[in-house]
Amino acid sequence: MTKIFIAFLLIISCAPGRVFGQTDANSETDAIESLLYVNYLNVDNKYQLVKLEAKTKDGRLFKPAKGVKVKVYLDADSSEAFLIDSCITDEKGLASVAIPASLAEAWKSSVTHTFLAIADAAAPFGATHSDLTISKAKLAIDTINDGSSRSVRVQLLAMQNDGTWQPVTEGDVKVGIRRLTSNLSVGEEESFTIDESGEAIASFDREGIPGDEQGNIVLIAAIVDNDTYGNLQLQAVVPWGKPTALAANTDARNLWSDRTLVPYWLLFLISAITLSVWAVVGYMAIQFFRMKRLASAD
Amino acid sequence: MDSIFTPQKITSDLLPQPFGRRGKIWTAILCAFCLVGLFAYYRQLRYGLSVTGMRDYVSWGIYISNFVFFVAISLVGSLITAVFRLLNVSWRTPLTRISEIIAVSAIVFAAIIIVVDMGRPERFMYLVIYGRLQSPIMWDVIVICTYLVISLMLLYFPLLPDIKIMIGQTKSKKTFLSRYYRWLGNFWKDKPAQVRINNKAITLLCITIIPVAFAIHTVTSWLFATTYRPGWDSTNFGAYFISGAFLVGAGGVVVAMYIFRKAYSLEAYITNKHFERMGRIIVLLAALYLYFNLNEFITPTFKMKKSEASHLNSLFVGDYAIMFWFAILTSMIIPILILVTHWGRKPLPVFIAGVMVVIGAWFKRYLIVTPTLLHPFLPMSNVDESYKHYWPSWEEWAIAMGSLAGAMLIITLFARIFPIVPIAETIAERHEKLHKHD
Repeated sequence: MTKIFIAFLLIISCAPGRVFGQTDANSETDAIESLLYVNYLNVDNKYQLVKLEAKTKDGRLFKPAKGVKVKVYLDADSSEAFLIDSCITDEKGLASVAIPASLAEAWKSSVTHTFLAIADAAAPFGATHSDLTISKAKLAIDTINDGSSRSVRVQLLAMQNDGTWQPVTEGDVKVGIRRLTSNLSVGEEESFTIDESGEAIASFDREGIPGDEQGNIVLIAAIVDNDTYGNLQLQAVVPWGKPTALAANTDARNLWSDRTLVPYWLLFLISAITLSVWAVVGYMAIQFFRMKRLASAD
Repeated sequence: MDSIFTPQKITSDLLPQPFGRRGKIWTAILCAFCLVGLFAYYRQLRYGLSVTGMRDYVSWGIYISNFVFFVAISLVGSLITAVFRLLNVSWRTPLTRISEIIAVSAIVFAAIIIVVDMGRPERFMYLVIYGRLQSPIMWDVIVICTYLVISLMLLYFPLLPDIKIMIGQTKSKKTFLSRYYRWLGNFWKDKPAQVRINNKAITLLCITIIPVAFAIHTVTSWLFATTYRPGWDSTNFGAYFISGAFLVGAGGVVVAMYIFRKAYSLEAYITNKHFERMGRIIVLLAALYLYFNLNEFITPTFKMKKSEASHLNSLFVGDYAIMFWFAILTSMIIPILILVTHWGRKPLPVFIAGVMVVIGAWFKRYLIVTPTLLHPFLPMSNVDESYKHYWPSWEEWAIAMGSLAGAMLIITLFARIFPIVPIAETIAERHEKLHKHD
């Protein structure tokens, strides 16, 4: 029994040492790492955006870095003439800048561009920089309707040194239909492989999907996180949906209708109350003139 | 005691007096506030509502707080005049005209401040041209106009016998005032038939003004309660507003009673008894309003729905906590503690409690309007930092203070032109009392 008691005391006395020992060991790895991610997004072959994401890595925990000021330069040249824009990350650590018109010539001058992002320190985020090199590319959407089935043909076209566009013959493209909060795939597959001819064919299996009043739906083709071309997305409107007949609820007598369609009960209620009160006011006016007449009766 | 109050003495005691030195300084200060407010309003018309601190989120700032305050204090007209008259409260006489003029001046400036808040005043016509009867804003416009007309009538009809006295006093003079008195009431001859018609008219007005007064406060509360926002989404709002309005109205009356009593030496007419009774009424109304406040805050606090939580926290422990607890303490708890004692119902403590009620009530209206707008259901994002806070610009303060000064200026000028305590009614009352003693 005594031995057990001594062993128990030994365990108890050693336990804090172990606990604190672990804490010390952890604190050695506590250095916070600052991470800055740069992404490129081409929207509808018209707008070029540089998207930024700032995070801190504390041990194994990633946290968005809010309020980090980032300057983004074109072609890794950190002179003010090549400044795309500066921005401050939001609560999710995200920010984006658009390539301004003033850099249009520099943008057109080369097939390949490098974006340099330089972030200031914003505790606990430390100053850091990051870059991304992309080659210019664009998407093309075409539709195939052979009477019995419908398909979407997507091409990824890369810019060549001579300024022409050539189809890219590898990679994946996502094809979907824009809905209210996200994109719906056009069929069972979400992603389609570009074949040797430079085309990805997505079969459209969403017959009867609700469209707008004319039956239009919006098709979206997207290249996501491509190492060479970054992110691209293109949309096209096609009349493949089922027209949605919007029931107008503003042409009936409702509280939310226009002024000519007041509900009868409200019209009656307000008119009755207002008229009865103003009838008293009118009666008062009559009494006033009665009193005046009484004065002049003498 | 009453025998020394001959009609001549009562008349000479209660006739409006020309401004003394203090009266002139007071009027000049009020005019100065009004002029600064007018200049600020000119700037707002010239440069638009961007001169205010209001932005997309806080689109109702101190203008609407002031509007709610004016609407609230105007309820006093129906409380003292109508309710007391219908209940045949014998000591009401010296208080009726004070409460009626407070009601009229407050409702006039409530209407003005709404037009100020609209930005471009000519757009008020759009309410007439394009107004939707389905909107509580239209109901408010209708009920404010109605209440103003009835309040003016309730001020005018009981004033007729006193106007006759004023005409008699200024008969030999050919001043602007004498002509004005004659224009207002030259037809009043004190004939029994006229008196009978007048009394009947006043009684009917008293009956009518009570539901209209309830309607104006309820509809004003519905401007908020029919809007789905944290802090406004309440079925309690109508009763909450009416109880608060009764309280601030009673507070306003005791403040005015004390000032007129001091300024015009009316101690024999506005007596300690009046303060004692008004003190009791304020305790009752403050307790009632405290009860509605508990109702208003306890139930959402118990549930702490996420959308309500940030709003409630900002009131209880956050940015607005000091103002919130100041308003609760000054408009309800401290006045109750003062007035619940016999000593506390002497004129000066009642006046102090009244001032606290009025000041606390103004901040309470600000707390009803603004913090809610800073806590929308969807988080504020992608907006300038200035959109996330509200602090009124100097133009807003100047216009708000100018409107308060304007309301007090109406009361001051009214007391200069008309007897602030009804002369004819006081003579009749004293006469009746004397005969009872005999």
